[in-house]
Amino acid sequence: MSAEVTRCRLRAPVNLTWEITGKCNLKCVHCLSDAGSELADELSFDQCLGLIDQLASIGVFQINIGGGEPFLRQGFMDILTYAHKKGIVTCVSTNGILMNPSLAADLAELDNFYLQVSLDGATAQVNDAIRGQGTFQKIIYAMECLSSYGVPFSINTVLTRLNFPQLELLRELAASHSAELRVSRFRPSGRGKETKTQLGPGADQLEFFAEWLARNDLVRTGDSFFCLTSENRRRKGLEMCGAAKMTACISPTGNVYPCAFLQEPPFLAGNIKYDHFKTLWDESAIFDSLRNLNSATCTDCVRFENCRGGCPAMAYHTYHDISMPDPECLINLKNPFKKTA
Amino acid sequence: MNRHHKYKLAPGTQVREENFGLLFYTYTGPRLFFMPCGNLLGTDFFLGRWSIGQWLDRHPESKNDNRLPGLPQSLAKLKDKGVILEC
Repeated sequence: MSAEVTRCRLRAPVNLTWEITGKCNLKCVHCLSDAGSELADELSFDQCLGLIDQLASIGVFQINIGGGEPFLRQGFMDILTYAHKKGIVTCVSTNGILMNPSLAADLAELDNFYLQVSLDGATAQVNDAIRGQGTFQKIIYAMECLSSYGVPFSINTVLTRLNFPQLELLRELAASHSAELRVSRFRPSGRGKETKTQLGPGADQLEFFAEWLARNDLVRTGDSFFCLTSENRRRKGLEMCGAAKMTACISPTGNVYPCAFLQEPPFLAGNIKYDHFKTLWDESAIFDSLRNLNSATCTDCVRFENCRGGCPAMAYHTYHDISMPDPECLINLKNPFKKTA
Repeated sequence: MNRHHKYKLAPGTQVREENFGLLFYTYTGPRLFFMPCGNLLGTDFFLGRWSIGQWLDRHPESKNDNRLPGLPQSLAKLKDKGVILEC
């Protein structure tokens, strides 16, 4: 994301995250959404199509669909196809468990479609410790299906203490399936709150990872690691938090939040069952507060223009205060910030 | 400025109007391109139906816009980046 976004208020998000169901067939120990069972008041099929109509009418370019496991949602392929008919680019995050040749063939028919397959280790031992017994082989099979049908996809790996030593192997595994590697940040929300101490990467690992990223130009980080991004990776992805500026998040029940990692009551803007998304985007006080957020303790930092204080969600989950600095930025890793009462 | 040039969006590119001008999005990265042209051009311009000259004739108010002299350079830059195509 360019600094231009911070200077102008967009009429609509560029993209948004839509967690289309809470239902999941895995129980990953770091799941930031705490997914498992379908929620009682999830959006109906018609409400999903209505939401897509709204987003298309205001010019949202891309929807990133996750969950839960999206392919478990009844009517999901029809919803996905409808979004494409409306000219919206989609990116679906899946755990890959339901992938088969028939589904891969259907996905290959979609234009401007991208898939992210979650894999949290380059070996069964490491991956299965996080995603569950037997999942590694199923995910590899999913990747083979996607690769053979030419579906563009990336392996999405959440960086943990366990898989940190396997970064090179994961990069090679992705390349061998004509895929990209996308490394995401461990966030202490959902079940990640409970497993942060056990799985969250340490300061030394994050510093090493920043150097590794600088050497591995083709590895993607999505919106996760701008706090660590070196100068030569700028413009490879987001350079600062896009929450409420260029993105937003919609929960399975229609709740609207600034981002997927801030799905907490203080950040609820409203619900699309009762309000038009555009009204919430334009008028929500919590969205305005995110747009005007400046981490006061960061403004004198040499890296301020690179990250503008880092990830407010990380600050919130660490200090319960979004205006605090990102605890895992390159500067704070070396000089840990201590919040005073 | 060559008034006869027509442009259309490259495959996988979308555009929408913003307060500052036009915001382009491409399916392949980098994703966003800003064209701070105010109301000088609308998204319809990139349907490739009208040349720059024809567009300005249809929108005479644009002829006095102080961003007009920078327009050819902005369009050329977008073309070089593969966001738009000359047609």
